[in-house]
Amino acid sequence: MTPAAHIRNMHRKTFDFLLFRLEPFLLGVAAEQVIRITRGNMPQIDPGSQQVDLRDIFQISPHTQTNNSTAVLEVKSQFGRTYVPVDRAEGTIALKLDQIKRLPPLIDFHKGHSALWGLALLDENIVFLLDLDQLKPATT
Amino acid sequence: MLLEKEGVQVDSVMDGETAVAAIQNASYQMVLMDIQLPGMDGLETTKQIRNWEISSTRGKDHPRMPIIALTAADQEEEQQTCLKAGMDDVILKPLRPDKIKKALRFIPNNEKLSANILNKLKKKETSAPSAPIKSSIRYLLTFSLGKEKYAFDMDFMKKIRWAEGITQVPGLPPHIPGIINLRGEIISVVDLKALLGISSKTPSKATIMVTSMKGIDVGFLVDSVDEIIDLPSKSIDPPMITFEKAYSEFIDGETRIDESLVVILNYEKIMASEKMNIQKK
Repeated sequence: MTPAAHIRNMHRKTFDFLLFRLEPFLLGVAAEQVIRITRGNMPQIDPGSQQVDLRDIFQISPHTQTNNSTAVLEVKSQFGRTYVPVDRAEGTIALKLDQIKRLPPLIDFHKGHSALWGLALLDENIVFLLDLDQLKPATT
Repeated sequence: MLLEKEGVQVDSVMDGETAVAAIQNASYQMVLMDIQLPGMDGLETTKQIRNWEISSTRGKDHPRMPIIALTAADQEEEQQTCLKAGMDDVILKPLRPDKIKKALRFIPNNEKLSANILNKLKKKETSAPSAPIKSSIRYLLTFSLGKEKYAFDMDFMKKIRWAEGITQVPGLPPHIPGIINLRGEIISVVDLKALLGISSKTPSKATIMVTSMKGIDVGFLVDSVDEIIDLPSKSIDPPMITFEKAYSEFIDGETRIDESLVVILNYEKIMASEKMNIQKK
């Protein structure tokens, strides 16, 4: 059982997220899931690794070319080493528990993918939080 | 309409130029000024009325007339703009008896009338809220989608605000343009026209009606919010003209207000529809 003092202190705890932009969206993933950020072109994908395109997953701007990303997140997920092209990596931020919110019910029902699990309020911005473990490549 | 029902004589005009002319040619005790007006807006109209009060002989003879802004914008900045333009107070839409009470404080030298109205409003406020469908009177908020007028029951209305700051969410269907941050509370926004399959261009300054049912808040994007009406149930007809609409399953009935057809939508049915059904999850 979690000691009561730990529960009381939970709101002080912070969680590190890597923020990145993809089209109009500001997205965040748990920093511990990210192995490396590669700037520029997509690196060589080794056997056993895969690429996941968030534009396809969330049906973002279907007419946009997907090879204009300027950064690639290399992440570890349950499907192995995964490369996620993004428009721009924004850096890491520590979010407090009270900054992290569940998706409103209507959004939760309609969201395009189970990887989207919550959001965070960051001044005027809303960051959508993704669980990279849920990013199953379409071809897998 | 709320005021007229309480015995106040009300003259309504549709634009700022007519409002200025009306005030110059008749004696009024108070002005309720919409901010969004065709042509000259409510701010400029107020400035012209204040200038006239200062510069004309007739204007000087009369006490400064209270001008109360009616606006859907709840931003402090916009409200300050109204006051700077010469208005005396700001009332946020939708209008309710308690807000009318606030406005009536500004009527000068008319304590008897004000007290009478306030008593009536107080009675209305303290009477037990009735179920929207079964009551003999339905309190409705009318709004526009394209060229047509619609209405929701007031019971579900929580707030009205400009359609600003909608954040898109990845992977949502077209009838959900995104979410808004309402002072730390995140609200889903539904484009009512897209939901009902009505195709018309949304104006640049659209409005969000924030509604609430069973603790679930949803904002509905509409072209504009018009007025609150209290309508006897018997004056609501079953869908006759509108029964062939694609969204006829959501229509409670229809009525005519000032010769315009108003389609009364069933909020609960819309919330329970497949496109919205948040309970299924």
